[in-house]
Amino acid sequence: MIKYVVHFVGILIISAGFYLLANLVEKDLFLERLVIPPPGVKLPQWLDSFKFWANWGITASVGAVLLWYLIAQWGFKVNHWSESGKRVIWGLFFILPVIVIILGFVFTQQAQESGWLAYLFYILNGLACYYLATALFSPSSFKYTPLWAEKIRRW
Amino acid sequence: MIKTQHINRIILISICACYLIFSTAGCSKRTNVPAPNSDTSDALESISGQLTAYVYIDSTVSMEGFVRPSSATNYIQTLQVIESAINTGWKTSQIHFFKFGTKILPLKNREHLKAVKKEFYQTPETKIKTYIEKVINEPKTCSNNSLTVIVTDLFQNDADVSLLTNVLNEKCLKKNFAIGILGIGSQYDGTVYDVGIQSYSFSYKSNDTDTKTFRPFYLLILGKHADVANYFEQLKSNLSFIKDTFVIFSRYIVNPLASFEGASMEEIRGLAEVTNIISTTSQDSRVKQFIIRKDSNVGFTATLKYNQLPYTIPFDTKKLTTEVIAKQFDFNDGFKENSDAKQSFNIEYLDSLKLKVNLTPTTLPGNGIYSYEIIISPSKNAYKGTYWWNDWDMDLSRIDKWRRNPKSFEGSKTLNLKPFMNNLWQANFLTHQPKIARIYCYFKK
Repeated sequence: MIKYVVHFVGILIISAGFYLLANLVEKDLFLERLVIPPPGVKLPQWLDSFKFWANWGITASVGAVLLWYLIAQWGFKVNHWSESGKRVIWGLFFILPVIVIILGFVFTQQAQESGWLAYLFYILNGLACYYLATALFSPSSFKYTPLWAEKIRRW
Repeated sequence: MIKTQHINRIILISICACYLIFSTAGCSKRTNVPAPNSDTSDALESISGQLTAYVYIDSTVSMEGFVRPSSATNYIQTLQVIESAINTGWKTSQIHFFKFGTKILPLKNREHLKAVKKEFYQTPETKIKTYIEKVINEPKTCSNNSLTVIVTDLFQNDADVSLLTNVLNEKCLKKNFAIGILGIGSQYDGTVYDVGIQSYSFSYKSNDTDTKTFRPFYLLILGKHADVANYFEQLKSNLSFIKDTFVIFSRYIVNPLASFEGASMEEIRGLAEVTNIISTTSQDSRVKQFIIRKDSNVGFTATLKYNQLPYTIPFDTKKLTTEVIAKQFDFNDGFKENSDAKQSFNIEYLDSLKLKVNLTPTTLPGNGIYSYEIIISPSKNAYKGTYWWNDWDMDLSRIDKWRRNPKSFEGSKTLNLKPFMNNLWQANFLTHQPKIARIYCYFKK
């Protein structure tokens, strides 16, 4: 039981870290200082739009992580250690954050300058959150299913 | 099995990361720069709740020709509506009537109703000379909650339009009151006195079937701009023959003053528009705030919208003047005017109220916050030149011709009308230089 709690707390910490990163570092330290919004759009409005889509991107990632965890832990049957690889399914869960990232691309008004940073952050947050959380806190039977997990997961 | 030391390490790293993020990003961004003052005199005052009207009827003999026992001339119909227009235009009102000419005499017990009869214009104390300036100099003229209506043919004694203009300027315009002038053509059969410097007199009879031959009389309406306009609307709704031969001279030509409200921002160069430079919680539509992101090619292009007030003189929006007040913010002394900041800023008018604002950040005197107050007014030559009063002006160079052939006298025109109106317009321009926009731009470098 303690194992699940630790995994979920770990996922929670990683997702919280990404929320903080998006809202306080990416938005306030980078975008607020560099972006020139399009005419007629005030910077706070534009940043609010970034914040909205960045947070939804991370939320989609967290949703994908939890789904992966639940399915991996209780949905898959493992008969033998060597048969536990479900990498393709793990990879398919990237679709969820990717959809939100694409929506973020579409609905964030194109800035005159440095708008590309927002798109970069959308990708980074959405994909990295899912990857790190699954690489570090997948169920034990599938702990090496995420790509290169064996290099970063030491427990 | 997860080792406890790994968990501790993760928690420790997370706490450190959170601390770093909050400590670097949690700084306050508001700089507490004061917002611009709101100038309440920029906004048109609303119609008075309570009104006292003073109606002065010119009772000199020239006016007698407007009155006929047999039929209701436009003049008589207007006199009959003067009172009801006040009653319908204001919830609470009082009206006082006077007759004037050489002297001003109060009309009591509804004596003003006699103005539709010829005897009204035979009073010895009033019938000889027209001293409109005496009426304007009355203490209640252009005072709060009052409206003064002067019914006259504007044949001022000695044709002294300069005196009349000066009195109107001092008494009304300089105190922020408005002057409305309504010209109405009416059937006429009588003698016109005081024509020219020699005060010649000519008989004149209009043709009832040709309104172009009607002789004009005027209502000078003095009071708050909104009251003057409202009174005209009331008259117009009751008298079908009233055309738009009406003008208001006042400090207001647009209402409200144009701002960024409803403006379109077409281009922003090297600037990010923000909302947190000035310390105000509510949005002020006069203000735009920007952070300067670049050193060159910085500025914006915006088109302001304005609503010209009805009955004010139309102006050419391509002939505008701009006053810019540039200030730099100092945390100890607040905003102080700064000439270097002013030189870094310029405005081009691309079309109408489409402004191209250019800023040269490299010539600003250092980092900081700068405010630019921009006041836009029509220039003196922006006012369009063809008005109804040009057609109603009496050409005095024809006086010899009229003396030789009195039947050719142009009684459908008014002596010195054009100089009077032009003088009044100029006085209003010099006193107020009516504004059409007041906007503020704040830049943070």
